[in-house]
Amino acid sequence: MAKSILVVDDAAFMRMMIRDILAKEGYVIHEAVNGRDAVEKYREVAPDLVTMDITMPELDGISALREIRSSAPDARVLMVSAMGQQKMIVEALEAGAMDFLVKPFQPTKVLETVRKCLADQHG
Amino acid sequence: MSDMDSYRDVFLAESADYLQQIVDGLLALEAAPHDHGPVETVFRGAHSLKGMSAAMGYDRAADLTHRMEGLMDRVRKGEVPVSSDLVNLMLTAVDFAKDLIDDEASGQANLDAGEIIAAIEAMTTGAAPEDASASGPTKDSDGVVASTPSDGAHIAAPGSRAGGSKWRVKVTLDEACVLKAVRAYMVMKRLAHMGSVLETSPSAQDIEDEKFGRSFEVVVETPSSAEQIREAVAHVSEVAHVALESLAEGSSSIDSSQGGPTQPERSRRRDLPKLSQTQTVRVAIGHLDTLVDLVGELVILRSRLESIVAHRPDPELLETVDELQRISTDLQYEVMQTRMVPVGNIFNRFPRMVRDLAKDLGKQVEFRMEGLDIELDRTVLDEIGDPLVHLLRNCIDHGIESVSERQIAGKSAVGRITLSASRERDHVAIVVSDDGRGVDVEKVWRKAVERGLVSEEDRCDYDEGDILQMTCLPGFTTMDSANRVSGRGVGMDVVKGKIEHLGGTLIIRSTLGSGTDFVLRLPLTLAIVQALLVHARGQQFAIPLSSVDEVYSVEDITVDTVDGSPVVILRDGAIVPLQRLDALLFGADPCALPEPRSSVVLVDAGAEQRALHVDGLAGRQEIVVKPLSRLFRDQKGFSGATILGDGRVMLIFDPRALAMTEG
Repeated sequence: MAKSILVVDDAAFMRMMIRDILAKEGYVIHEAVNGRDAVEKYREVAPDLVTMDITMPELDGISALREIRSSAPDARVLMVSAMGQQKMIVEALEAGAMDFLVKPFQPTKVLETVRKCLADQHG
Repeated sequence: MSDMDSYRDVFLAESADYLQQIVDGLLALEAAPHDHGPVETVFRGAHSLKGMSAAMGYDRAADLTHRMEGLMDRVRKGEVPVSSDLVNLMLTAVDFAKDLIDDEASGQANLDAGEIIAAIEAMTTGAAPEDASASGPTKDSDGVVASTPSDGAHIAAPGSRAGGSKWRVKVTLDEACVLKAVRAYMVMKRLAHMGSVLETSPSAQDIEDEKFGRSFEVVVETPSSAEQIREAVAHVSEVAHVALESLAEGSSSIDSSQGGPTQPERSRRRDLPKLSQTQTVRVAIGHLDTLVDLVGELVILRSRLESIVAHRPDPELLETVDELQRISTDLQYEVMQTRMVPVGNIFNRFPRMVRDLAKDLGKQVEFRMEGLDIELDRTVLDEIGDPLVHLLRNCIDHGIESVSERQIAGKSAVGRITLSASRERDHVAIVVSDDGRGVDVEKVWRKAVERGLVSEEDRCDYDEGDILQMTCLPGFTTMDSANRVSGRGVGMDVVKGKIEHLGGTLIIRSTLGSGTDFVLRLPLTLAIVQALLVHARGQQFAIPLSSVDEVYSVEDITVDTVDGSPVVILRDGAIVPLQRLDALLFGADPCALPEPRSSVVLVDAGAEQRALHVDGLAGRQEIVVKPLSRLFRDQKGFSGATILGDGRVMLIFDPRALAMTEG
């Protein structure tokens, strides 16, 4: 079965880029527009992986990550950040994120990282 | 990357939203400097723009928005105070960012953000009390971004724990790796999970501060096998190379050139992806226009079918056509809905304009907007931006008094301007109102007399409303000298013309000393309208029903002549000039009296009512308005054309032509 991925970003443009990259490879894509939305969508669709932007309105990516993982400890979350967010990435990794991508990214890198996250036995 | 071209339109549309979000945030911040919400909004806007610009490869825009984000980051941490200098600088920066994005999107490199970046940096660092050390605790002043965890060393300092064998692990990162310290952290975390990290080179602190080249070394003691260590480390993204050296007695060196599982395991999945579950999609406007055109064709075809069916009383056919009628009406409604855009989309640029203008003129203005979610057809909305700008400028410039003037008049120092939209059946009303000095009706009257527009003795024929409308006559202005803000007498007439061209009306209400309202009533859509079909010399013409007041047969009204020109006398005694459609269009005698059994249509010809004589009426129909081709555009009297069910082309008569041809 095709793996499903929840793409979380407040910028529709970024969502579209990530979606385009992933959908081509056969992943089923869901989208959420902020952290709050991500928490709800996660509950709804239980995706195999979440790509999570950090800076978002309503609820930021790290808080969303924490909420998701508190109810679903196995949740696989891949952080998507911008330059200059080292601290937040580390914080996210501490909170259970699997990996991170830094914008701007190359499609191959996105796919590689996503594959890696999906293949990894979490722990 | 040609791939990027397809993203550009989406990028441009969305970046415009973020630019606007920043402007809105800054204005809100200016109004409430202690409010955290707007600071976050501006910060996030700059942040998102940065990411998007970088993704597009727009490096200059990415750099500028990065600086803007940096400055706002300091603001939200309370390290740079909110001041009008800050707001002004950021507003200038937003404007520049917009230009920069346009510049880059058009593949040019005309602009250099050096100056504005220097100014931003000066404010970012100038207000810094001390060198903000990167590892200092983040002040969690707003609760939106949580504080950093375990301040200081994220990377576990070497310690000792479980036994096993010792290994020196040399990790080399990808050349393209951007956040090396974080990758190193991930490596350390994995190693610490397997055993204990005894030593690092360079030191943990240096690694954390990213003070290393592409590689670093870790000495780890673990019961795991070399293979397990190698696998665990190589699994971290962006690790290019892992080398292991056993530190036990017989030192062996195991090399691994595994660059992570980059092996193209592109097993193209055959099962098709389900559609993504998005609630909204962005659609190019061209598609919507085509859709409306097609629906228009369908409406035409439908009325053609209806006229065919009318001669064939086949119940089954009738029923089918009925069904088609229902469905196409629904379809038409839905398609029109997709073109509806909230007025907020054009209103949102006004707060900035009002602020700047008020500042320029040294006036204090509080600007409010209401009904931002009221929707109008995009074609209508696109057209009313300029008229609204003009009306708002008018309010600030002419309406709102200076602070001292207001105080003398016993008003609050801050003038108030409101822009509101509301829905009234099949119209939208947009009201621009101010609490300024109002219009001096007597002054307008004197001006109108001076200009020879009216004669003094007719004063009692005009009420206040009529006189206020005179400000919309071409070349009329009550300002003694033109100023740069509201132009020079071109203005209200142009505004009124534009609104009426859209099938709307403009009404001015004013009370001397307490303010002025401009009331715009606009049709929801322009593309499909109800029309009255009329005959003149055997040809049919359509008149938009929105400008038809009443219809009479000649027998029901009184026709007379005044100074040789025909007029109709209505039941309430009002006298309305009568014009003949055949005279206007075909050069027939304009003074000929109506023939028996002909009709008179009372129309709204802009400012006044006119009676239009036509040979006959042909019913009422929904018509699809098509613009006239360029060749005919200057043809006075027609606002467009339509195609009837039987395929005939019919011109749409513009009643405002009646007022123009006077005299």
